[in-house]
Amino acid sequence: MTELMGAEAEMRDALRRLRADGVQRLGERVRELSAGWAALQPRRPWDDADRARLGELAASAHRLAGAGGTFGFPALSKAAAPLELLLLGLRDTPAPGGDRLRQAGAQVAAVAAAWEAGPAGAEEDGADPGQASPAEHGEPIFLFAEAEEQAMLSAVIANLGYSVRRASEREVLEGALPEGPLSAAVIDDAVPDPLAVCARLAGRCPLILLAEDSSFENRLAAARAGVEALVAKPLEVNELADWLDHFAGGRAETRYTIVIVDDDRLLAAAYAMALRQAGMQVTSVSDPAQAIEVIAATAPDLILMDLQMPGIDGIELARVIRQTRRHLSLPILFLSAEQDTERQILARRLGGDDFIPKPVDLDRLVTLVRLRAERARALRAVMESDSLTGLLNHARFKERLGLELERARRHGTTLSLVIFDLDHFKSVNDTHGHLVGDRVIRGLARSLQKRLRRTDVIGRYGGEEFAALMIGTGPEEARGIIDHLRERFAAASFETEGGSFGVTFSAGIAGNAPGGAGPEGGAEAEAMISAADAALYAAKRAGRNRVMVAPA
Amino acid sequence: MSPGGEALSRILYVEDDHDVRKVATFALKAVGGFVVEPCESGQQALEKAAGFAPQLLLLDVMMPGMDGPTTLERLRALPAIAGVPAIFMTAKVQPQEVSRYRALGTLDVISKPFDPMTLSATVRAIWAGRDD
Repeated sequence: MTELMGAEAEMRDALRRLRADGVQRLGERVRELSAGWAALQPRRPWDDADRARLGELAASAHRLAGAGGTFGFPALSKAAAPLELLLLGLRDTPAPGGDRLRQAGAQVAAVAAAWEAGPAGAEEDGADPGQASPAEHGEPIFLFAEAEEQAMLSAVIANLGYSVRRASEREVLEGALPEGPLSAAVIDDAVPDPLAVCARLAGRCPLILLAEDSSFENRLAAARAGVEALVAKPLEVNELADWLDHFAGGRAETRYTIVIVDDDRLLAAAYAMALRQAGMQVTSVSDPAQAIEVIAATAPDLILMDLQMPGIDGIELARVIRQTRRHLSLPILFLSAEQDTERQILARRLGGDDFIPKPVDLDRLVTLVRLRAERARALRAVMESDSLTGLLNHARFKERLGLELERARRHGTTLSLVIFDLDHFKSVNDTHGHLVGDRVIRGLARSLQKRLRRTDVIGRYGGEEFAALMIGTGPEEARGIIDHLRERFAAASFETEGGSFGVTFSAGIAGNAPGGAGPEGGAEAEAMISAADAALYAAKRAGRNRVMVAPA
Repeated sequence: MSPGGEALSRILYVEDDHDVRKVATFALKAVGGFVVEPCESGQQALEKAAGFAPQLLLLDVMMPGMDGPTTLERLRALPAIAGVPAIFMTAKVQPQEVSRYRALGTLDVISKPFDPMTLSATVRAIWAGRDD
């Protein structure tokens, strides 16, 4: 053991020396870059030799971007990457404008500042060297359980849509840990000394303990061992699912989508790079005339817009965007070199939410965008979703129905509306209480989310009523899918202290009129809802627990 | 362990930046226990490849002279290297870039900067998933 530790200490020592060399060279490169940039300024307009020099500086920036984080300077990497882009852009622009030059100058300064700020703290050091987030790559859930339990639990987790990495027999016996990234670990307390296992895994990834004993003492002991979630046995799958989604599933959804509208492609590319480094999804538009279309197609969380563009004023464009009701609460950030406060006030009044002065401090840009997008999304979620299930609420669902019908009409595609109703739900509430009733509601919401496609739209229509829009799916095909879902849901059982019980649902389906032959506008949506409702009623009358399609 | 069965040992690593090459080589050897042949250029990789008989190629994308994709293409033209899987390392990871590299028949792209302590685990995970 001590020998092993000695070898590891030696290894870390050697690595430290290599890092020190690397760090020294980073400093030299940063100084060369700053000096090189400064020397080029009085030489404008640049000749071919100067442009070649810009190319060399860009190569330096590239190396800083590639090496900074490896040697403990992740912020230096982040600042150098857009600088490389800007320098290459300047090299290839015959007569670069003031905005580009100032942005590049600001970025050279940002690189120097990131170097001056020193290496990242021990915590940050290497914690986020790349942008890979576990969920994106579907890092597995580590399952630590004895053989008998393992097969069952592994099936449960896989069924929830996560990849599972099972602990081997040896790992269980020795409490050994797997290599590589994990998005969460599920530990069954039937393994030998489960809390010791937790303590060893703590810090690697979030820990979920399945515990026979859910007393306060045991919860406290688990918390001390680094357990973040304790699920009492017998296992309630929904509860485990909620935790897994919380730890491993949430990331992809929290990726913000940003649209940049700027006629200067180079600057837009630099802003986009900084935002992408922070894990956001970015689409750039250089022609303001196309902005509306792109915004409609990407449904962004925020718009970043240049205030001064040829042909159209940013303020005007903001007003056009605000003409669409759905975009009333969409945050718009203006980029502006303008000092004129009068105009800034005007821009705010007409729809801008904030100003970012040019040249842009990319760090600040990322922070501002994230804060604004976060708040806008939280507000929208509250406004649009049902609080119990997180599905779209009634009003929002009907709005989507109208939009999707319009789209289907334009493209000549099919879609089906399904309305679900839980059978005898009142007796579930009466017998088991509302808390159990809520669990059933969430259970159906979850199976809809899991079994339907991501592009399908799902809403909670009322108390025990749900609705789904199946895009590109005709009523007969929808019937097959929903009927399968019905069988699975009916076969599942809900556990309570008083024993287990099952719940069924009935569903009615209606398709849109083929070839856009139906009534225009809102009337088609209403007609579809009535037809699906009538089919649902027919299903109920025919004995419940079945799916019926409305006659075309 | 991996479905492909064969355990990864020999890695040919091409990186022009001296410091990065040093650290990564050391980390792959000491942390990952791999046998690593470091090369400072595509040209050097071409000279060493056949004799080293690598199981995996690890290539920096942007290098002066011969860049990563060109190096890969020329390496693959060598009969001994034709079927050897490759991983690119790059500081500029844009979505379209990754799909372009994948189209060149690479297993994955590792974004730079990387953390030397976890580099081996990343390589191993990509290697284990290569048959998916």
